[in-house]
Amino acid sequence: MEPIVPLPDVLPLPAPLWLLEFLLVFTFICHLVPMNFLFGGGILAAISHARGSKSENHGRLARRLFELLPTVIAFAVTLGIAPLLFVQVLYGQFVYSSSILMANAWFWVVPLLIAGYYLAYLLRFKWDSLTGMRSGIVWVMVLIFTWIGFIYSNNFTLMLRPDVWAAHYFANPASGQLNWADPALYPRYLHMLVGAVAVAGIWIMIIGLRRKSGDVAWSNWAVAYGARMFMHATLLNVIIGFWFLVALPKRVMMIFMGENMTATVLLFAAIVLTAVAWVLIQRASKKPDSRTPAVAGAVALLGVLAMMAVMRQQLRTAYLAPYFTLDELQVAPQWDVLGLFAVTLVICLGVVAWLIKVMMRAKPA
Amino acid sequence: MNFPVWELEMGTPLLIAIVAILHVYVSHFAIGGGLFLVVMEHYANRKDDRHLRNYLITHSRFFALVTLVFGAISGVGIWFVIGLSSPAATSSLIHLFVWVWAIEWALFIVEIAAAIVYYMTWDRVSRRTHLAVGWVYFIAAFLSLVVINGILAFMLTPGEWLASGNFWDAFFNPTYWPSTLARTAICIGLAGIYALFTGVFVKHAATRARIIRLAGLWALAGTILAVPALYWYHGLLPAGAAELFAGGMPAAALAARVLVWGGIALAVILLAPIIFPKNFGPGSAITFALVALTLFGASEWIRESVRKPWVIVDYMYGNGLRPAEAEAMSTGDGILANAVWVQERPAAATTATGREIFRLACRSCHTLDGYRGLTDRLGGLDEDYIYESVARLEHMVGAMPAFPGSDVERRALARYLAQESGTTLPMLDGAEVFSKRCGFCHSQSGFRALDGSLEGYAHDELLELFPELAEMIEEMPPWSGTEDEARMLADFIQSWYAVAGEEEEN
Ligand code: HEC
Ligand code: HEC
Repeated sequence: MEPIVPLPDVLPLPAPLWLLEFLLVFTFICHLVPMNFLFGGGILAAISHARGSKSENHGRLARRLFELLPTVIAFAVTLGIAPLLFVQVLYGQFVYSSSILMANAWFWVVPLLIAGYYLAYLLRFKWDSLTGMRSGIVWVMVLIFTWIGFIYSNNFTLMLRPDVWAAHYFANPASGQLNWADPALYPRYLHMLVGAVAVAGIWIMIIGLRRKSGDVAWSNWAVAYGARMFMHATLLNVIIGFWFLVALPKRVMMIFMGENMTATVLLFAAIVLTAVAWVLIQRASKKPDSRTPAVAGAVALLGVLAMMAVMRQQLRTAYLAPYFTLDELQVAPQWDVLGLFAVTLVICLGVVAWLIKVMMRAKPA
Repeated sequence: MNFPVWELEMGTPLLIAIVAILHVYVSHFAIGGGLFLVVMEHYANRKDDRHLRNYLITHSRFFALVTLVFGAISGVGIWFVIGLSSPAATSSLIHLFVWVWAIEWALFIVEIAAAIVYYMTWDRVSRRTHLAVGWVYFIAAFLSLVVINGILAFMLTPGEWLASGNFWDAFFNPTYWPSTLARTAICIGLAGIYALFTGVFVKHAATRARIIRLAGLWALAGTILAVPALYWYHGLLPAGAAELFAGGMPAAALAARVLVWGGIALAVILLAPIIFPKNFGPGSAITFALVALTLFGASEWIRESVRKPWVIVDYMYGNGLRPAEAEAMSTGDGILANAVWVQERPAAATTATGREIFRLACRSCHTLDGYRGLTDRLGGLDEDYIYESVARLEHMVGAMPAFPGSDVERRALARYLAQESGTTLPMLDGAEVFSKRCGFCHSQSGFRALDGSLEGYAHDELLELFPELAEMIEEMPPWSGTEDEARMLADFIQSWYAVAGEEEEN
């Protein structure tokens, strides 16, 4: 069947293209950090919880992570809204289509997210009284978030495949179906998931560093453990990354193999920076007392995440190139409203900074 | 018709209604409840009332759990659902209002952060700071309402924007201010309703009574303030709205009655917690919450209904077409030639084509067997009659857009619907004949009433009249019923006057 190519909206873009594209990628990076804490942190917390009966260190770590998770979810969701908005502005005709093509699953993200979120709060507030049920709840919660991530990977790969849409849609217009047939889906999802575990390892390391004064033994353990998780996950993810690369359609893969110089350089730079981060974190794991390598490693990792997000956008552009390029869109900037947004955002971020300060300075509960 | 259609069995309009009503209910609470919390906290601090403060601490945790999780995520949920069911309209709104959504998002971040800090820092920061956090929460939440309401009101009354294309015309549209006022009133009222709900669980008796009385006052104040606001709003609704309330859309007419009478009932029963706060228990609190939810459902239902046949009034129909596109399709080469998601091309007078036409032209509002299902309503009708009716959708109840397709497509749709509904099912009685052959456009005494014009016709005069009607009035489909049906229908029409006559004799 022929590719189906829906038309872009007739209303113009209310801002220059470069700004919208920048906001799309930038807000996605902001979302990526808490989202990785949530996915990867949830998995590591569940594992630590399971090992908690034998190891007190793991038990404490699980407890600590579950204390933080509800707030992490709040950040992940809130920061996720912005990229979801901008992707609809720029690629609405593709995203709405692919969402409908997997309509039931996409809709169920919402009830599942509510359920997972409440389970996180349940764990936080009723940790001790849950006793025997606790591990069941922990795994259900982790499963829910892992599944939601999978659904997102499905939608954001399916939106790139107008070539398969007709067959996909007419087979099941009542409920839709996931993008099972796409070989790029699996490595892409695993790349994200394992990457999330790596990032969560760094998060654990930071938790350990922050707690230094309180309990040195546990903090040192947490730093070392988090660093180890990062190192294992990252090694695994390099392999998955190559799998992802070769699973891409040849035409798309080639942009990272010389056809698009920025994409190629970026991929190479990201691999190098990952190696740098790995070495730094390895040093941090050996010397839990010294903050410098840990902080440097975390910053390097943040750089890697940003590069990955940019490459993700390049990937999207390349996938869609035969059907659509962004410069087809009309632009009629609403500068006044945009200005209002900028002012509001600055004020709001200031207020949030103040709120965080209040929280940090609050007496311990 | 740029997008695929989700053929959800229960019908996407129903799904939207459920998600939207739940979300709106909670999100207005999230705003009014925020105000309630800070005002009460002020009061508790000033009186140094420990019991009230303890209650507020518990209430704020409940508040945070409801608003942070259900309120916030169901809001995202509406976005998911409208994207799945009205992608074209969602895309329009996103394009026109990106920066409004973005502002909404910035406020949302503050709201979430402040709600978390507020419930977590009772007695952990100075009282002043804590109150300030509460105010930050409320202001952000209220501003987010003021902002989002521009988009909601726009869908109903895009006003000057249609001609000017100017953003500010779209945002400050004709119903912007009255609906902002109405929503503010509702927020205040709901804050009281929820406070009643949590107030009944306060242990200390005197405190409980005081909270319940105060909460009752809040709810009453909100309800009373809503009256002028809604009245103002009502006066600015699109021209066709009055007709819909008068029966042009049965469900909307019912909702309007529920809203008016329910509102009055609520105002009256709210005197109970104010006058007899001591006798107010959990059962009563739940009743109040349900009454409020019903009113909410009714008002949201009305808001959705008066917009028909549009999703954005005068800009886009419920089926995702702009008027010019619909016009081009119906006068040009039809739906299938222009729609993107089509399997069978070119159109032929087959049920396969009909199925696609149904999906593209009707599925956004109807299902076959579920919500607004058509098979029930069309069962027993002949294909020709359906074919003729589809040409006249804009005259039927429900305020539908005109059929945008070609003649072949109309034939195909009729064939498909007739097959799905069963043409051979016999009609049982005159009432059924009336509802299926006339009732799409008339009722006995409500919408486009017939009891006036058909009074005094003898049985055989009616039989003669039915085939002539369509010749007299073009909007009516030609009579194609059987002789049996005509007889049953005539009997039925005559029975209207028999009943009325008997009543007069008594
Ligand atoms: C914009 C939404 C919308 C679209 C599109 C739409 N309808 Fe309707 N239709 C309605 C509403 C609302 C009603 C009133 C139903 C009610 O109030 O119960 C209605 C009523 C009807 C009725 C009369 C049933 C009754 O309750 O008396 C028929 C028949 C019908 N529609 C057929 C169609 C067909 C065929 C199509 C596609 C060509 C279509 N409609 C498209 C909204 C729509
Ligand atoms: C597709 C919609 C439609 C259907 C179906 C329909 N009508 Fe009508 N009918 C109309 C419209 C529109 C008018 C014009 C009303 C007006 O001008 O006020 C009308 C007018 C009439 C009038 C004249 C009323 C007056 O007050 O002047 C009569 C009588 C009437 N219809 C009877 C019937 C009967 C009986 C049936 C069923 C066999 C029927 N109609 C089916 C749409 C319909």
